[in-house]
Amino acid sequence: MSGNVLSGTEVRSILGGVPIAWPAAVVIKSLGDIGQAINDVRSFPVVVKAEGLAHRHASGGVWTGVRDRDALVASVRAFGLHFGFPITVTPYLQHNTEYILGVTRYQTGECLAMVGIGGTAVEARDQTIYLLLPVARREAVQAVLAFTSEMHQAGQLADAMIALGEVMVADGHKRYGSIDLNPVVFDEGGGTLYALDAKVFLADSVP
Amino acid sequence: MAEMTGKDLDYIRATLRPSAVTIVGYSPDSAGSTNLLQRLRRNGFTGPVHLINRRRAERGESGFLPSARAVRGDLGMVYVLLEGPAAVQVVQDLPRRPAGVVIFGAGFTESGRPDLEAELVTWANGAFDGSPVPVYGPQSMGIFSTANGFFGTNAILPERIEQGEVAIVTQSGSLLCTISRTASARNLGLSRAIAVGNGRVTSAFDAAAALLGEADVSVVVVYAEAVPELALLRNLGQVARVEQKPVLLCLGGVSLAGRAAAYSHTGAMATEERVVGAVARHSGLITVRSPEELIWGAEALIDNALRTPEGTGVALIGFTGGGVIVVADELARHGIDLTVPSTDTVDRIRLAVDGHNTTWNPVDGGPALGRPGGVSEITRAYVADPGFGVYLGLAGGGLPPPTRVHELQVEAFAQAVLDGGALGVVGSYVPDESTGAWKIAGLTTARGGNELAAKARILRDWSRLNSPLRSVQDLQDQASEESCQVTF
Repeated sequence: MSGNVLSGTEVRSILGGVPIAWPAAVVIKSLGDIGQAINDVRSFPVVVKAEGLAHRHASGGVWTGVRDRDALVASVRAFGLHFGFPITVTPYLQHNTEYILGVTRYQTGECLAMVGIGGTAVEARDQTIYLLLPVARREAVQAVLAFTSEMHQAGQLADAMIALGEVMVADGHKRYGSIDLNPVVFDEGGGTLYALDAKVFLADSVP
Repeated sequence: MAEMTGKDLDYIRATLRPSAVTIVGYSPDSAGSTNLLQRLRRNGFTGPVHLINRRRAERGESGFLPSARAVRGDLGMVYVLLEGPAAVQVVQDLPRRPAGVVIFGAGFTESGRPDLEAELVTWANGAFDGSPVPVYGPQSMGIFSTANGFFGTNAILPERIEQGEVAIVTQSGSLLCTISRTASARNLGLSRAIAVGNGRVTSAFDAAAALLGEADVSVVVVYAEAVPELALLRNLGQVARVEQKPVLLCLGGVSLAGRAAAYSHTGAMATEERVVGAVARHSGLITVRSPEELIWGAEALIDNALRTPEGTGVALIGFTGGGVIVVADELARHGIDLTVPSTDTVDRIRLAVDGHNTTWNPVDGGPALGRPGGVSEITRAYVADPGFGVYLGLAGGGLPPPTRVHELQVEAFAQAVLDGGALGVVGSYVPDESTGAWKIAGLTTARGGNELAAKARILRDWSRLNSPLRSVQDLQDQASEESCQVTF
């Protein structure tokens, strides 16, 4: 795992106050854990991720749609060989739009929040809005409404963005340089907001 | 905590109405010195002017003092005609609080001495009790006010500046000259101007916020080249909201460079251009793309009397066929979507043009031109649509209207827009330098597609700031354009 990028359970702990759901994760810490871990997987398909990579998808460290136990075992073995451990396994969530929520320290030392269309091509799509923290809820909702017309979804995204901002602003030692929640999605019913991936980039990872 | 208003920054506004002036480093052999003094007197400043020149005073030359310590009474505005460390020393030696300080010279950060600017900041904030001392510079060209005739500036200005409602704040001294001259050429009156120079002590944003508090200032235009803190934009926007006055902001020299790819997505995409533009707009500032647009925008807002229509959509009505297509393309380049009007509006327009049109925004008013009242009918059909607030009339034959018939068309358009309480621009799509100072009461005019589109964009942004957001669609439309907007 890169010392400058935090992911997995450590990130969930840091972001515990953010009103967002996390898919149940099975963490596999070594090859020896595979058997027990796979028994803990309740349903398929699943998503397999190599932890500790800054941009997993671009590095090939995310496999979605893994459909059964045999495929899962093979995925975990391959990831363990190429990327090392730990590896997380989460249920695949059916969803529509992928969003991104993020916070970062700007060159002036001030903190910014960002919301937009996320996923793997977030930078290529370049559909994001930046707001200066702290941000009022109305302002956050107004920004989010660029990307969804569903008011209850806008409210959830806005609340998550505000809470994410509070994590950043409360970081008095400036340990965190940037936090990405990408993608965040609503489940098939559209009611619950999930973070499918999250990373905390430590301040010393800033070039 | 109460919201800050422009009136909270009276210590900055006070620099434009000093009771005295002290010029340190004055020399009758220096054009900079003599220009400053002559301009002060020529424009009616009657307070004492203290001339500081140690060598001349020691030689016994009349009219000179050896230092500011020898000044009896109020120092007023202190102008420092020295550079670098010498300038800082003079400021630090001031015996009493001045109204403010202007440092014309260089020799600071650009000469590798950022520590000198830091010393000025420390002095301004701590030398005297109470509010900070305003310091314009280094590399300031000074300040002026037409309200009271105080012209403490070395800038090359027009012979006469008409008194008006526009205030200028600029980090660039040469742009103070350019903007003032352009405004004068267009008969756009100016109220006050502050050239903040490097803006490290008193920022352009604080100066702008202060000028918003002046009763005779309706619009503030700002040119800046650095944003030391994003919060300054937010503060300025807050004051603009409280004062209910527009601030037009042009930022020069912002970086397009992205961050390293190994960084987070949020960090990598936080380019200076994207971030500063977004924060400025979300703070309620109207961003423009060039210093020229500062003048166009101020003119458009003043000409339209800062009306605040409920609708925010932009409608283009042409009194000439091909021209609307050209202008529509120009509007698209300025990020303006010509939204399709409601079905009811389309039905009304169809009646007005006898059903010959195939597009409804822009609309070619040509088929209706031959009928008395045709232009008025088309325009009023649109004005009745609550979704629209900015109307662009593309004049057939150019401007000024070449015939009485063309003039009647423009007047009919203008009256319909005014009756609807909306914002309007009458333009020609080819720049015509013979347009001169032709005006139409209550609306603004534009020469050429670029000016027309820029004014449309600025008026639209003004209407968005003031329109109650009535629907999710309004919010979406506004924010969608925001999210795709890279340049400002």
